[in-house]
Amino acid sequence: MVQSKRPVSFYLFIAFIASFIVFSSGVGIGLFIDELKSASVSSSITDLQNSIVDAELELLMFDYFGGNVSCNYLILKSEELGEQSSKLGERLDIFERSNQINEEGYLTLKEDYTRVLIKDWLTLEDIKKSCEANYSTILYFYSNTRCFQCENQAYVLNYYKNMLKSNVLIFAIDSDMNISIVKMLVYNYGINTYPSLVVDGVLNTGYQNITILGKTLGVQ
Amino acid sequence: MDILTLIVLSLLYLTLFVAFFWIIIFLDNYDILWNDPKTKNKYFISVLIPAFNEEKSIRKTINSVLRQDYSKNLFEVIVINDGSTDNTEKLCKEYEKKGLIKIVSKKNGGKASALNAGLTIAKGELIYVLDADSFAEKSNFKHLIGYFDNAKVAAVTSSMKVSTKNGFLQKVQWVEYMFSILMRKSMSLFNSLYVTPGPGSMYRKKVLLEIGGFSTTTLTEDMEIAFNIQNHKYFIENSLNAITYTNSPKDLKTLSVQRIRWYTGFIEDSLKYKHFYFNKDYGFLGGFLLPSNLLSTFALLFLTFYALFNSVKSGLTNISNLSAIKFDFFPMLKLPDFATNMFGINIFSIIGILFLIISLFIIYYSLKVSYESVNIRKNFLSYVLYLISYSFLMTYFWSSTLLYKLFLRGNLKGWKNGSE
Repeated sequence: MVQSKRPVSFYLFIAFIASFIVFSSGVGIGLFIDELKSASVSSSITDLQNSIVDAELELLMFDYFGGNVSCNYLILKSEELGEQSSKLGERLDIFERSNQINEEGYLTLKEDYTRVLIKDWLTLEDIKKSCEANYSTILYFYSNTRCFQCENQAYVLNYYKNMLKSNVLIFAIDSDMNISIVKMLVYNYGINTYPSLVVDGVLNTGYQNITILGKTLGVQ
Repeated sequence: MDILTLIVLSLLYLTLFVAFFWIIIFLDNYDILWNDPKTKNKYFISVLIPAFNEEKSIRKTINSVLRQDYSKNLFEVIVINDGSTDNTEKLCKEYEKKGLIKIVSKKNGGKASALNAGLTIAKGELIYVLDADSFAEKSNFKHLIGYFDNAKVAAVTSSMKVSTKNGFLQKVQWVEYMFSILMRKSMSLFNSLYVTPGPGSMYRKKVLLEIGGFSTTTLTEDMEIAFNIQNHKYFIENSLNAITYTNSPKDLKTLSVQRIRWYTGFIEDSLKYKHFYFNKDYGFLGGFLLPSNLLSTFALLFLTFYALFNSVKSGLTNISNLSAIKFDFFPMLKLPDFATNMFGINIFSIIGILFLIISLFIIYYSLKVSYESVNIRKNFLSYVLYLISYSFLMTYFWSSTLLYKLFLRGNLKGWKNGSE
C-alpha cells in the first residue's frame, strides 16, 4: 500500500500554520492598503483645505485692493478647487464602496471631507459673487438610508459635470452625517426629501431627471 | 466589520486551509506518488464492460482492452449488453465469433445490474470494470495488479482523463479531470477514496461478492461500492500510471444531467453511510474528508451566490444609471485614472489574488501528475475558462441537484434514461 510519509495530524497542523500565516498576511496587506488610502485621502483633504485658505486670502486681497487682483486668476483658482474636491469625492466614493473593514476610520475621514467641502462651496460662492463668474454651483443633498433615487441622481449630476466641466461645480453632502454644519444647511434650506439640489442658491426638491436638470443648467 | 463580511472571510479562510492541506500532502509525498507496487503473482483478470446503446464507442473500448500489455491467457473480456436497442450487440458478436470476448445479454436493468450479471460468470480473481465509452492505456493492468498483493486492498482506481477537449465545456472538464487525478492520488494516501470510477477501476472479486456486489438502488453505483468497501474496512488504492480516457459531455444539458445524477448519488450515498461522518472509526475519510467536503460545498455555494448577488446588483444599478441618462454614455467615457482606481483595492482583492495564485499552482501540478504538458500557448483558453467558470458551473449543478433532490427526485437511473 502506498501510504503517506507522515500522519494526517502533521499535515493538519502545518496546513493550519501555513494558511493562517498566508491568510493573515493577505488581510494585513488589505488593512495596510486601507491605511494608505486613508492617509492619501487625509493628505488630500489637508491640501484642499490649504487651497481654500489660499483662495480665501486671495479673495480678501481682491476686496482690499479693490479689484487690482485679476478676477481671471480667482476664477481659475475656483476651477482648480472644484477639480480638486471633485477628484477627492470620487476617491472617497470608491473607498466607501470597497471599504468593508474599518468603517469608523472611514466615517471620520468623510466628516473631515464634508466640512472642507462646505467651506469650499462657500469660498467658491464668494468668488462667484465678487467676480460675477458664470459657473453654476450645485449643493447635492443625498441620503444612503432614506433615498431610492440618489444613485441615479448622482449619475445624472456626473453626466453634466463631465459635459460642462468647470462650468458646473458639484458639492455632494451626505445628509446622514451627524455633524452640525450639515444639520444647519439641511435646516436652512428646509430639506426633508432626498435627493434635493440647491442650484445657484435655488432649492429643487426631489429627483431631477436629465431633462429637468438640463433645463435648470441651461443646457436643454 | 459586519456579520456577512465575517462569514465570507471565515469561509475563505477555511477554503484556503483545505487547499493548503492538500497541497502540503501532495508536495511532501511527491516522490512516492508514482510508485506502483510490483508483483510476481499472476492474477487472472475478468474485464467487465457494461454496455447500453454504445455502438459508437464499443469497438474502441474492446480494442483498448484486447491490446493490454498482459498475458492473453490471464484475462477475459465480458461485455454485458444491457438491453441495447442499437447495433451494440451485433458489433460485439464479431469479437465473440473470433473468441476474443464473451457476451452476456440481458433486459435493460441499469449499469449495476449489468455488472452484477457479469460478475456471476467472471472467472477472474480480479475484476476490471471499464465503461463502454472509455478506453484504457495498454499498461493499465500491469500498474494496477501489484496493489492486490496486500490482502486488505479491495479496489484500485486509475487516472481518468477526458478523451477529447473540443468546445468550452470539454475544455473546462479537461482541467477538472486533471485536478481530480491529483486529488484522488492524495486521498488514496490516507485510504479515503469514496469513488471507484466506472472507467478503469479494478476490484478483488472475493470482496465484491462478500459485500453483496453493486447496488442497484443507487444512482452512483461506483460511489456506493466504494463506500461499501470502506464500510467493510478494506483499502482502496489509486495508480497515477494507469490511465483511462472517457468521453465527456459536450453540451450543458448532458453535462447537467450527468452532474445532477452524480451529486444526487453523493447525497443519497452519504445518507446511507451517514455513520461515516465525524466518525474516527472510519479514519481520515469519516473524521475529516467527508465533513470538509460538506463544508467546502457549502462555502462554494455561499461564496458564489454572494459574488453573483453583488454582480447582479451592480449590473442592475449600472443599467438603472444608464437609463437615467437615456443611455447617452459618451460624456461618461474618460480615461481611467490609475490613482483613483487604486482606491477600489481592498482585502477581498488581495485574497482574490492569493486564490488565483493557488489555483494556478494546483493546475500546474494537476497537469504534471497527469503526464500532460503545461503548454500555455496551446491550453491557455482551457485554463482561463476553468478559472472563470468552474465555480459558477459547480454552483449551478449543486443548486440544481438540491432542487431536484428536494422537489423532483423520481426515477433518474443513470443510462436507463440516457444519461452518461
